[in-house]
Amino acid sequence: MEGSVIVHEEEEADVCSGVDPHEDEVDFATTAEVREAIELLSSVDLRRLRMAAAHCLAGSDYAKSDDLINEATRRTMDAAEGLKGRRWPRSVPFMAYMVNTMKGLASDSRGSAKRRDTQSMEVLAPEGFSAEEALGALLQRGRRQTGLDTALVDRQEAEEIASAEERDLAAIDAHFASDEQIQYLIMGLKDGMKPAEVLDVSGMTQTQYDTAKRRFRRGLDKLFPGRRK
Amino acid sequence: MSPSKHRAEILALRDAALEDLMATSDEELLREATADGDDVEAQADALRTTMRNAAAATLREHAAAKARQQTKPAARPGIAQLSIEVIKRLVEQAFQQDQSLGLAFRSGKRQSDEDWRSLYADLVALRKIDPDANAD
Repeated sequence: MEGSVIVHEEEEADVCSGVDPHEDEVDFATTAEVREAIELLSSVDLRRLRMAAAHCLAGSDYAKSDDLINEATRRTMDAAEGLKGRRWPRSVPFMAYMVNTMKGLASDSRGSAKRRDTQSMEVLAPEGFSAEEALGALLQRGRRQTGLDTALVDRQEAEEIASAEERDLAAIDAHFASDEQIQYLIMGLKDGMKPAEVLDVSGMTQTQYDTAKRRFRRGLDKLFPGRRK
Repeated sequence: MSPSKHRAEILALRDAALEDLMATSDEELLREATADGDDVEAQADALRTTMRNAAAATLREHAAAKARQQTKPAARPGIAQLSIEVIKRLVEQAFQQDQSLGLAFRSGKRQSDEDWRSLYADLVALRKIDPDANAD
């Protein structure tokens, strides 16, 4: 299963069955089909999936590729059971679906202190109470202080992520400082230029542009080895 | 430069890397793995196990949730059904059983009814009050 299909629109947020007016027109996979798709992934597919997850980590709350893949799998299984989650349309190749789901999850995880609190409450909630009920009760109890705490945590989290993104960008610039073609590529990507515009400005051929893009992707894999495992 | 600009740049670079990754053939990825000295099969086995376990764990959780739903006791009295006198009595009993709770709430004499209801909900959530017992 080669990964030639990629959708640029990020996967939509978690959805529940019955809320999408067009869901009857789309055929979604069952839990058995999701599990079968996992078994059918080749060794190269799995390598590609892990590398894709690694590229999605920047600016997200996920520390490791496997964490993100694990979460995407669970959300897909949830939705296949009719619960809140990410639904895999049968018409979309599993690999492309997983990559887009991971992109969406990584983006959604940014500044997710409240979600982490809810996940913690799933463990702590008394029997008969949902995590939201228990969390709501505790938040209500200390609502004044918690409101301030939450705002502070959100702000600190946003500052940390922004700082991490700035560091990543600086590291990328430094790593590719000696490769002029990649510098043109990065400049074009950052400025939202079309490839043809980059070719025009840089004097690169299409082949040189494509190989620069390949070197860039390979360079990123090596630049952030700690979070690429 | 603003954080949103950084964010947009990171996403643009990410998308370019992903685009190239998805356009790379299986053969080329294998060549890269060999060049990097990676054991593709061992890494694949580990990730497949991770995904397999995630899928199985989700199914187990769904089954457990269904089982809990089926054995759920009859509807317990909601807080709206309890009089403020009953709520006060239950809260005071909880405080008597656990002195440390009183430190946060004092004697309760100057609290509003809404504070009592809120505290009751907190104590139920903390399992200091059993909502299925003593509600009358």
